[in-house]
Amino acid sequence: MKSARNYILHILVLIVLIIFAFLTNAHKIWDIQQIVFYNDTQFWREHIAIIGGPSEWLTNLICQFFYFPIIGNFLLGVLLFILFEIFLLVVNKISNSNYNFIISFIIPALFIYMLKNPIFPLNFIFQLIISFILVYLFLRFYSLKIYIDSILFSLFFIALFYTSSFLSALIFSLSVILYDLNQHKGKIWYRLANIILLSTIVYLIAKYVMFLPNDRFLIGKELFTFQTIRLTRVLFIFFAVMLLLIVAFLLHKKLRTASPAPLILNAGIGIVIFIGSWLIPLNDENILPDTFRYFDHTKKWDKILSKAQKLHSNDRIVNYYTNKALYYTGKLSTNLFDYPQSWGEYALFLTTLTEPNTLMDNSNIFYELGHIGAARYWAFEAQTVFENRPEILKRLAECNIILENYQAAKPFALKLSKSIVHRTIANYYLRLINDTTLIAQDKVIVHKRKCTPKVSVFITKQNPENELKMLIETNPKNRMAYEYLQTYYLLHNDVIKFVKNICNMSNIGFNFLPNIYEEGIITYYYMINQKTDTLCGYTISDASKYRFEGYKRALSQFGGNFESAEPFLKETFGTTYWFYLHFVSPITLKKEITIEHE
Amino acid sequence: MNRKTIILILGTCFVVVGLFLYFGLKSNRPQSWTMTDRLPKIVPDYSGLVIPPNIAPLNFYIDEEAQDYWASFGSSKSGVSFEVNSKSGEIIIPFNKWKQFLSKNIGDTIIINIYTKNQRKWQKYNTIKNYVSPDSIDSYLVYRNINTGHVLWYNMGIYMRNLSNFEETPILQNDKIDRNCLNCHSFCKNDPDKLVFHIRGSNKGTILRIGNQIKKLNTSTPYTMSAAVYPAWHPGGKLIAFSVNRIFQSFYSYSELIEVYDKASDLIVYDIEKNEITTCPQISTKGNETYPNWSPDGKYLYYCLAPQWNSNIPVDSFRYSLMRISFDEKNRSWGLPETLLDAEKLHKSVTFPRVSPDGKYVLICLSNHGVFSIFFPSSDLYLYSIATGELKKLSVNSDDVDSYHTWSSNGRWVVFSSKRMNKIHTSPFFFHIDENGNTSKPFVLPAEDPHFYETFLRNYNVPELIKRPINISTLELIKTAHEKCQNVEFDKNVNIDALSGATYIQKQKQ
Repeated sequence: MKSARNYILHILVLIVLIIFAFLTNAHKIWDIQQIVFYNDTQFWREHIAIIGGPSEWLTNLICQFFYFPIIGNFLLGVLLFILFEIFLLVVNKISNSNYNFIISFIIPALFIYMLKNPIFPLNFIFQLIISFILVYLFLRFYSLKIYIDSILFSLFFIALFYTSSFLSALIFSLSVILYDLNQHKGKIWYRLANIILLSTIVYLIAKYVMFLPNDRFLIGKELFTFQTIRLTRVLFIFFAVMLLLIVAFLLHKKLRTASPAPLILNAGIGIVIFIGSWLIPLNDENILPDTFRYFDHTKKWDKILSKAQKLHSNDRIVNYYTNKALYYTGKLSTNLFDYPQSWGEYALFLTTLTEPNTLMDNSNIFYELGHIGAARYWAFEAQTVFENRPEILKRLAECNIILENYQAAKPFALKLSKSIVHRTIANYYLRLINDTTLIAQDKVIVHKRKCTPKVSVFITKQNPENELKMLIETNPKNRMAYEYLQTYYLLHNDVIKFVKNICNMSNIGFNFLPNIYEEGIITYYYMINQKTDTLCGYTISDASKYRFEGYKRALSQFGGNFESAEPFLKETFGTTYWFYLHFVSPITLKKEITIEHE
Repeated sequence: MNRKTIILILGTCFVVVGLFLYFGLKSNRPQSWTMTDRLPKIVPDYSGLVIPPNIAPLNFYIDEEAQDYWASFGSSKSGVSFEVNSKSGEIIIPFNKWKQFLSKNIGDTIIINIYTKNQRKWQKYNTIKNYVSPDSIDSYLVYRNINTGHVLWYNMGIYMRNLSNFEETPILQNDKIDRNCLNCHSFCKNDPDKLVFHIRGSNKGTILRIGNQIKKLNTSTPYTMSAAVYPAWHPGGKLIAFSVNRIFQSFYSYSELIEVYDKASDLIVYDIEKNEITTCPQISTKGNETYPNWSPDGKYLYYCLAPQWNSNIPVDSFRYSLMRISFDEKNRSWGLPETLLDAEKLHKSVTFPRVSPDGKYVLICLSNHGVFSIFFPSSDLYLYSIATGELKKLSVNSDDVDSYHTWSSNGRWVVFSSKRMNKIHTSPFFFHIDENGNTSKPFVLPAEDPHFYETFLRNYNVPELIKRPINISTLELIKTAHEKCQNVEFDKNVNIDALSGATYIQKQKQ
């Protein structure tokens, strides 16, 4: 009965963890972190040669399968379950308290909470698993003679330090000490001495022989300085685990009752802990942009727009992806100002500053626009920071194929072919490289070749105007380039160029002027104080004309005082181009746009 | 059955299976074959070479469809010395056998016979012949490994590779110095005890090592347009010439990747003992002086010169000439600049002049335009004879970038950077050059894994040969990198108003 009860409880935990894994969305984690495993000597050597490398290698081996959404979610749930089980095994060795089960819930719950941020490294799950496995194994040999015990302890400590991190080794040490205390054997002092000696040795080796940075020494991983996961966050996890071990130990024998807590109580508390971890907000500044980034990668435009509509965020990346989603849902020229545009053109393109976090965003937009040279350039920049990321290698292989640099495409495709997950696409690229006659059958490559400008001029990073114009000259039917160029002109307050470019609208099949374009044209007429026949047969609707009259009337009601008029105009005309021009445009407001990056 | 017996039986089974697999899968030496009248395709191409006697094994793979592969290594002197059999086509040469093989055949031609087996029939190809030169190459190659991006960086390091084996040792990796950029490492006459390189980033400065002394310098002065950039050690070891540059880069939308250009540049000379920078009007003109390199006797400074930057001149018309100026080390006096190769007459741009150790030649890059030839497929290596003024295009060139070169200390080997393997990443290539300027076929730095270059996604940048390993404490380097810089002085004797280059721009800024 007791074992059946335990069995049910464990199954329940597994099910709950899998459910939460689905809610966490392993595929999103994969997409943002681009976890990859290459089955080659170089990859192996890169990981074997560094502290924490082996656990990272193992993480990549397993978590590469997060690429497959359903398998990934199951895997994540199973991993958290394994962590729960192994921690419980260790805690049961340290303490006989009835609350071990409940305490053990906290570990996976912590990770569920942390993994709300999709850049949180998964490596730490594996480090803890390895650590507790070694604890468990060590405790199996506990009764050996003291010198053998000491040697084994030292070996395990050093193995943990090498495969995982110093803090993992400390967790191992703490677990063993607590067990020593539990057993009331006279090993405590020599154990402590052993730990101090080992810690000193590894610290000295790390600092003066290996010259390890602090984060590599402590947590077995270097955290990108330009990302929001800080060392303190990770240290919190490790120290939380240590605290839980200590709490479990303190509860040993103190709270032991005749019968264990009821199944329902354990399960109930567990579910509350998990739900709590899910509901407590995590306000890392990258979570929202990365969510939008993920939706963009998976083409969930409607989700982007509904979330943007709800949040009304002024985050630049959020606005950038919102604008992209507007294009892909055909609303860029009609609903642009329904969403925050306080960044102006800086949320249409991110190229002004070369920041590590937005390099592939830049490559993606140019790829989608058809400017393959620019897409390739940004992918090369991205590769300096994220050397092995599969999205980058794919992009570089494909761009070089499109640009007919087949030899240049090959190393990226060959490297990618070492990944089991990406082997298919890599081998496809290699087939194209080896037999270029097959390229004619690839509609995407053929289309991109038609779109990409074949003029070798300097890319202007400060503004996209030249690149967009080149794209339109190369392929006048390039709708994305046209809409983006017009949007750029509007956001840049340049209605003159905007109107001059109106006639090209016929190339992309627009039969009538979208409302925002009408508002731009009306603004132009108002500026030059006349109407001219510059619209190539397009006409402005009466609705827009009346709307503009209404806007002017409203403004005049406030005696032309923009400051007083703003609240009223925002409510009635907040989604018009005129409101943007007067009250939102960073150019009008003379806002100095600075983007922080490290 | 007790445990010991089980273990014994299992152990015996493993040994038997292992022996069976080893001997069973090992092929027998080809006894008969058909001839194929061509050379086999091997990657990397290590055929028809002149190789140094102290080079690491030239591992390669046979790029022919087959089920079995056999390579026999021998010479006319000693017959077949050893053989390698492979099922995958990878020929991994046993290290010790290779060492002995080369040492026995110095000055002789070694031959490699390749056989492939298809459907139980062996095929033999034409014999690969390589000549083992009596000229050794300097034992170590120092380079920087970097990605192909141009504005950002993350992982990089300066590494030292033992050319007689596959050991690569990091000299300094940037994860130890807050991910700063390391660049422009340079040695005095291939001597590892005299090293200079720059750090860019939060720990910026110039690291100078002479013997046991390492110091960090701030080479910016109020009179120079930038900190020191491209270095060139005077052979006496007491002076280092640098360029100072205002460097810009732009990125192409289609064909080439990048254009790096100087809107201004001049030359300066750093006196190590005085901790002082000096210059003179002849090398700080309105034109762009860059890429200094001393003659081996220290009496001449060779450099490249382009007209003053003008934004109306298209970038692809901007070209550098080869210049030299005499220098008296005792008096620290300068002669007048001489034009050795006029860019306008050549209609090419000269970069990276490197004078041979015997002082007879200057090895240069010529490209259609520009100053940063590592990005130009048109960049090729040329040999300029100082005595006769003859300019010869070397046969080592490919149809892609061939650039940045260094002489070995004995002047018989050259290492250079080439993108010929995949048109994207530079790899170091070596060739032999005799006293008459005749060159051998270049070969790529050997790798333990013959497939290495196919998936290595970084560039070998600034390959420099050194005679011995760098014996330097990494801890000392890291410590120095984190220290405050020692400021260098600007020579008070320089008539600043007479200068029209670096200082003029600096004064304008002020």
